[in-house]
Amino acid sequence: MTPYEIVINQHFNLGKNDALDLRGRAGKMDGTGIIEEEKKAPVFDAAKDYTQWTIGAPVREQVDGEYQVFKLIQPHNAAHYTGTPSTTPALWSICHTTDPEKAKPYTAPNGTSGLWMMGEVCTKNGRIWKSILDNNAYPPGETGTESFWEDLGEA
Amino acid sequence: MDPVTLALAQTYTDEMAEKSGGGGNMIYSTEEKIVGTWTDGKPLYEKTILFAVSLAGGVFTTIAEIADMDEYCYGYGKLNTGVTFDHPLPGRSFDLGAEHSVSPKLIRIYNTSSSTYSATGNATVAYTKTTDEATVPLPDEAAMQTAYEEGVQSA
Repeated sequence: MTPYEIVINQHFNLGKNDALDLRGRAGKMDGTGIIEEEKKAPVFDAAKDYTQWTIGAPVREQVDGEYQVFKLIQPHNAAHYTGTPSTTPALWSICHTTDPEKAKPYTAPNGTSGLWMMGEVCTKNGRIWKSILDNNAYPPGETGTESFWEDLGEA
Repeated sequence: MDPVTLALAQTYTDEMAEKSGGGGNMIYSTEEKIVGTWTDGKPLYEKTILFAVSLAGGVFTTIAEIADMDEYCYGYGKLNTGVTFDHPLPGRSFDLGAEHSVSPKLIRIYNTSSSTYSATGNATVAYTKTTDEATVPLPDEAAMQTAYEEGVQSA
């Protein structure tokens, strides 16, 4: 094995181990913690069988050009379902963070899934917003929602 | 050289030495073999040249041609002119070096005296080759990142 192959294998194994490690811990983590380590979450695979994954295991999905992180709610075989985590709230739940530096673009709740909790942050229109109450279903930066979000400044 | 690179270079050296039949153990051979890694990361080749030549005074005499030689790194040996004293190479009376202005490059002995001698001896020379990579090939940051992400995805 050449040094090139050794280093490539090391990084491949590091990535795999990191992903398995995060998956094992994610069930007890909140969105902030998971997003902090989101690089260890694999990208959602529509052909993958997630039946053996533990509840809370994270995946990433590009939504409007940005990666969002989703936690598994119901283990399932994705090949048997139509849609992705962002469109299947019964199977996956979006993660939100309270860390302004890790804030992700705002996504509208899907029913009761993805409601914004107090302290969770997002970006919209180039600014960072913090939800100032639980179960916030309204978008930030719009007339009439001033009492739901705090403007933390430029993103 | 950082420890990781050094370890990889050693792995590379060991593997190359193994392929060459065991280098780096003070086993001299008239066959070209890899004995280590030069400062630029290239494999270091070595061979011992046995010669019997006539050395005209004040000129260079070729004792070997080495195809694809890049950098002449070092050389040493001994020379005997038929008397009881073995001259060191390189030494005060006879110099040893490589002629770079020709292709293939030449290993030469320079007779510093004005007399002509019939000489026998050996010269062990070490060099790099133009056919090798400039450095021990290691993946760049992008390749390592890709390997990591593939590892995450495989989990």
